[in-house]
Amino acid sequence: MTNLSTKEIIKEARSHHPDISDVVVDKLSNFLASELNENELNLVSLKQITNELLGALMNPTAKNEN
Amino acid sequence: MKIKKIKISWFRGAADQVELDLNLKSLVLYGENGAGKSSFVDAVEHNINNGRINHLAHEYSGKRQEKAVLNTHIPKNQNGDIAITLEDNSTVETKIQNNGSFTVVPAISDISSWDYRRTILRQNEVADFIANTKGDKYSALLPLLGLGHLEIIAENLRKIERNLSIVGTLDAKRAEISKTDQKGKLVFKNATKASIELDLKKLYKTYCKKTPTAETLPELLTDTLTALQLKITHQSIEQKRYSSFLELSKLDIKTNLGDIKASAIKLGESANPLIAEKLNVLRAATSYSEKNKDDEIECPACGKPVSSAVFASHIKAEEIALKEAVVNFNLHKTDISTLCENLQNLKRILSHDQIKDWKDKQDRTAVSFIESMEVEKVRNACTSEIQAEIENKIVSIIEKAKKEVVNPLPDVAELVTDKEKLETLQQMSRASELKKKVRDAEELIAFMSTLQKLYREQIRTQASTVISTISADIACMWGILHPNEKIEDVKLCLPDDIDKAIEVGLKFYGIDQDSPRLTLSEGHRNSLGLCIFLAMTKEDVNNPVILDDVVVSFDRNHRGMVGTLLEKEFSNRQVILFTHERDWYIDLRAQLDPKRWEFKTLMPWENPEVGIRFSTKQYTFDDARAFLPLSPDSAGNTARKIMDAYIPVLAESLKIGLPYLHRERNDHRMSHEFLEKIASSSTSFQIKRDGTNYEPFNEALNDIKAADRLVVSWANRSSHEFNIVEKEASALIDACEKAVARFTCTNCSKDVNNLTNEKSGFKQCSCGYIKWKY
Repeated sequence: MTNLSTKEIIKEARSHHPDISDVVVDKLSNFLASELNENELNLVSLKQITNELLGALMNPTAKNEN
Repeated sequence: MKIKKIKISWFRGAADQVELDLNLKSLVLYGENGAGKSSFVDAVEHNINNGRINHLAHEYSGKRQEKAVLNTHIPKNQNGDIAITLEDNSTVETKIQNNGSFTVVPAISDISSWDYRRTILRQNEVADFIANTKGDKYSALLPLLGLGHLEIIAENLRKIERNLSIVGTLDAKRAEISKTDQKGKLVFKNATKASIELDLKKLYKTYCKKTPTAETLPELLTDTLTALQLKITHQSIEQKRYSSFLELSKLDIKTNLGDIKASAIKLGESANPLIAEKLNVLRAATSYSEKNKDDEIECPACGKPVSSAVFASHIKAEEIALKEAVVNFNLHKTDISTLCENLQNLKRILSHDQIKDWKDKQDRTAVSFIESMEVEKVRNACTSEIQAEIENKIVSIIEKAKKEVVNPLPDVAELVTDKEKLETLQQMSRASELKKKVRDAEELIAFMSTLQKLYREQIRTQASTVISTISADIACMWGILHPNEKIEDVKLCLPDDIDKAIEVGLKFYGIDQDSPRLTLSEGHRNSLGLCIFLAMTKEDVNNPVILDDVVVSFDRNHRGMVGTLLEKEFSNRQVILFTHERDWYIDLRAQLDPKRWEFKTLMPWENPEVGIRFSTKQYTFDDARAFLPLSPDSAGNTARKIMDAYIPVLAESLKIGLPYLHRERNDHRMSHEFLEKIASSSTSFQIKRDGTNYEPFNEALNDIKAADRLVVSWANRSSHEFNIVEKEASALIDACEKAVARFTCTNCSKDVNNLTNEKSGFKQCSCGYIKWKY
C-alpha cells in the first residue's frame, strides 16, 4: 500500500460504503483535518463530534455548514 | 543548533553561577558521582519539557517539582536560573521561583522544539526501551517516526465508532423494532406487505367512504384512524359501553407482567449503568492486555494468572455476555413500557361514563388503586411488589370485563379490531423509520471501522519504511560496538499478527530471536538500547545528543567502542557526554579528535552552599585531593589509580613498547612500568624552546622520574600498608599531576599525541612546541 492522503483514504473507504452521504463525509473530512489529528478526544469533544455525525446522518440532504 | 554554553545558579546542585562552556564543540564532562554533571542535563530537560524533569516527577517533589529543582540551600532572595546560549548566540533564560513556577524568555525557542527522547539519554533509560512491552515500544517510537498524528486519528476514530452506538441508542432502537415486529406478527399473522396495504386501503374505503387516490400510505393511515375515532364517538351508549369492555378485555396486562418477569430473570439484578461501566473497564483492560502481550496477567474473569492471549479471550467472552445483558435490559425496559401503555389505557377506559355503573360494582380497593396509580412511577421503578399488586388488583378486573363481551356486538367488535390494526400499523410505520436510522448508523459505524483499518494500514506502511532506515543504522552501530560477535541482523520490526506493536528482532548465533530479552545479557541489552537511541536521534539532525552516564554496564572493550561509534557516526553533530568513569574519560581523551571535542572535569561535591565547581586541572587529580584531610591513604590510592588509568593509555598512543607478559599480567600493567620506560627514553621527548630547534625535554623527564619514584614508594604504601600521611599524599598527587601535565603543551594546550607524523615517526602537540619521537 502506498502513502495515502486523508482525501485518498476517505475516497478508498467510501468505495466500500457507497451509501454514506456527502454531508457525513464532509463532516468527517473536516474533523480529520483538525480535531481528530491533534489530540486524543476528551469526553466533551467526543460527544460533540458524535452528535454532529449523527445529526448529519439524520439529515443527509442538509448543506454542510463547515 | 549546537549549544554554546549552559549557565546555572541555584538550580539542582548549582550554588552561585556555574558555567559549562562548550565552545560549540562536543564535550566529555567527567565528575565523580554527585559532582553535579546531571544538573546540566536537567537544565536542558527543563527547557525541552516546559519545566518538567521526568526523573524528578514523584510524590515528594511537589506540584511544580519545586522541592527538587532548586538547591536546598538557596538564599531567600534568590531565584533558580538557567541560561542556555545557542550557536546563533541567542540565549534562553529560565527563572525559577521558590514555588517552582518559572518564566522562560523567549517563550518559544529552538530548544522547545527539541524532542527529549531524541536528545537526552540517561543511565536509567538505556535499558527501558528494550524492557518495554511491544505496545510501549510502539507508543514511544511512533511520535519519533513522525506518525503520531496517524495513531491519534486511528484512536479517535475507534472512540467515535464505539460512541456512535451508545449515543445513537442503537440497542434501545433495536429492542423497540423487535417488539413492534412481534406485535405486527400477532395482529397481521403472516400477511405480506402488499396484503397489509390492501387491508389498509379497504379500511380507508370503509371509514372514509371514498376510494383511495394519490394519498401516501401514512396519509391513508392517519385519515382512516381519524375517521374511525369519529365513528367511535358517534356510537350509541350501548355500543360505547361494549367498546369500552372490549378494549378493557384486550389489555393483556397478565401477559405484560409475564414478559417483565421473564426479561427480569434474564437480566438478573444487573443495572444498565453498572453494565455500561463494566464495559468501559473491559475496554480499558483490552487496551491494557494489548500492551502486555508477553506477560502473564491475573485475569479478573477467572482470577488465575493466564497468558495475555487467554486473558484477551476471557475479556472478549465477558464483553459478549455484557452486550447480551444490555440487549436484555432494553427488552425489559420495552416490556415495562408496554405495561405502562396498557395501564394508561386502563385508567382512560375506566373513566368512561358508559361503564361507570359497572366500575362502581367492582372491588373498591382495586379501582381506587388503578385511579390513583402514577404510571410514570411504575415506569421508573417497576418493582416485584408493584408487579404483584398489579396482578392481584388489575388482572381480576380485566377478567370481569371479558365476561361483558361474551355476547358480541358485531359492528363494535369489528371497530375495535380495526382500531388495533390501525394503531399497530402506526407503530410499524415508526419502527420502519427506526430501522432506517439504525441501518444508517450501522453503515456509518462500518465506515468508521473501514477508515480506522485504512489508517492502521497507513501507519504500518509508513512505519515500515522509516523503521527499515532506522534498522539499517541500528545494525551499523551495533556492528561497530560488537564487531565479530555472533549477534547480527539487529532491527526494529512490526509484528504481522497485531497492530500497535513494535519489537526488536535479532539473530543469535544464526537463530532468529523474537526479543532481545530472550538471549542478550544486561550489558548487551543496554548496548542495544544505546544503538536504538542513537539511530533514532540520527534522524533528527538539528539538536545536540546528550548522553548521561550511559555506559555503566558496559565492559571496558565495549565502552571503548562507544568513542569509535561517536567518531564514525556523529562527527557532524554536537555530542555531550557525561561520565563518572575515570578510565573511560582518560580513554576518550586519547581517542576523540581534540579539534572537535572539549574535555572538562568537575571537582568532587563538597556541600550545597559551595555547589558545582569545575576543576582547573584536566587530569581528575582533584578527586584525589578531596580525600586529603580525612583519608590520606585514599588520596594516595586515588592518585595511583589515575596514573594507572592515564599513563598506559598515553603510552599506547606514544607507541611505547614493553616486553609482553603472559596473559592477564600483560593487561594489568601498572603506571610505574610505563613511567620507567618513558623516563629512560631520554631523546624521545623533545621541546622547541627557541622556536626553531628541538632539544631533549629534560625538565619533563625529571618530573616523570620524580613522579615514578613517589608512585613506587608512597602510592604503593597508601594502597597496601595504609600508613601514608597527608603531606606525603599531597606531594604524591602534585608530583603525578606535574608529570602528567608535561605531556600537554603550555602554548597550545594540546597533548603531545595530538598530531601524528607517520612518515617521520613522531607525534606532537597542535603547535609543534613539544613532540615525541617513537
